[in-house]
Amino acid sequence: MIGGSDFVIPTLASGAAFDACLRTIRRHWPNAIFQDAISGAKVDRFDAVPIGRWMEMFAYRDAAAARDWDEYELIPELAGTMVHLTRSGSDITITVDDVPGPEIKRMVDNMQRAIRMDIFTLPASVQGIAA
Amino acid sequence: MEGKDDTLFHYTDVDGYNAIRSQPVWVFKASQPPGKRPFGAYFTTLGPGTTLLARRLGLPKQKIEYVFAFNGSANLISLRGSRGKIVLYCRENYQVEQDRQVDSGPMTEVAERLQ
Repeated sequence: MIGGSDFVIPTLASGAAFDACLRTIRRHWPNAIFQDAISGAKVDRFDAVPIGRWMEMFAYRDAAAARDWDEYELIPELAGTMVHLTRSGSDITITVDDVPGPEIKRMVDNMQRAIRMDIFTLPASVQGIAA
Repeated sequence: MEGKDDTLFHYTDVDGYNAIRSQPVWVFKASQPPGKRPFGAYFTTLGPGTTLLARRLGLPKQKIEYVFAFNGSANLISLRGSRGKIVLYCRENYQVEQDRQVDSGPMTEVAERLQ
């Protein structure tokens, strides 16, 4: 009674890492819709996502995909149209299809790369490391 | 809706529901889930009626139509990563004796009773 494939990326700067993931998603899916997993609230612009407040979210490829998920939930036809992000104080978990396709794999690779690059450029205090 | 206190939930379809409830002691069978997750029997802290429940668990609709609720998380392991806050598992079949059983049935009915 659990589905999807998890990619766990350790980070002490989960807010910045979340932001890096969203920017990566936007590059792959310019018309992405973002949804808070706790409240169900949706926004259709990357810069409207309250990154500091959302701890768990879904990103859909576009508005049509978001509508289809609301209507059908998980069905094979919707593979490759949604990414689930969860964060805590110590990691970001990216959850995708059970068997992710090439585009989703590339997106996950790019998110992992973006998080690593962001972490290297963050000051130690932002990363949660005592100066 | 999060579960109250230490209540845990196991969601399943009609076949799984009938198999588990056929015995006085619930036995949740360990199995190999998709997505390279650890072999085990899986549970969640998310109660029936939780917003976007199926999506948060990565399940199709029919896999959350029935639910078992019980108290206690003895011998359960948190899933690696942030989802470990809401998903726990046991590497073997997991037994829940009658004194830990809280409720079971169609998800919508259990949600109403647990409110």
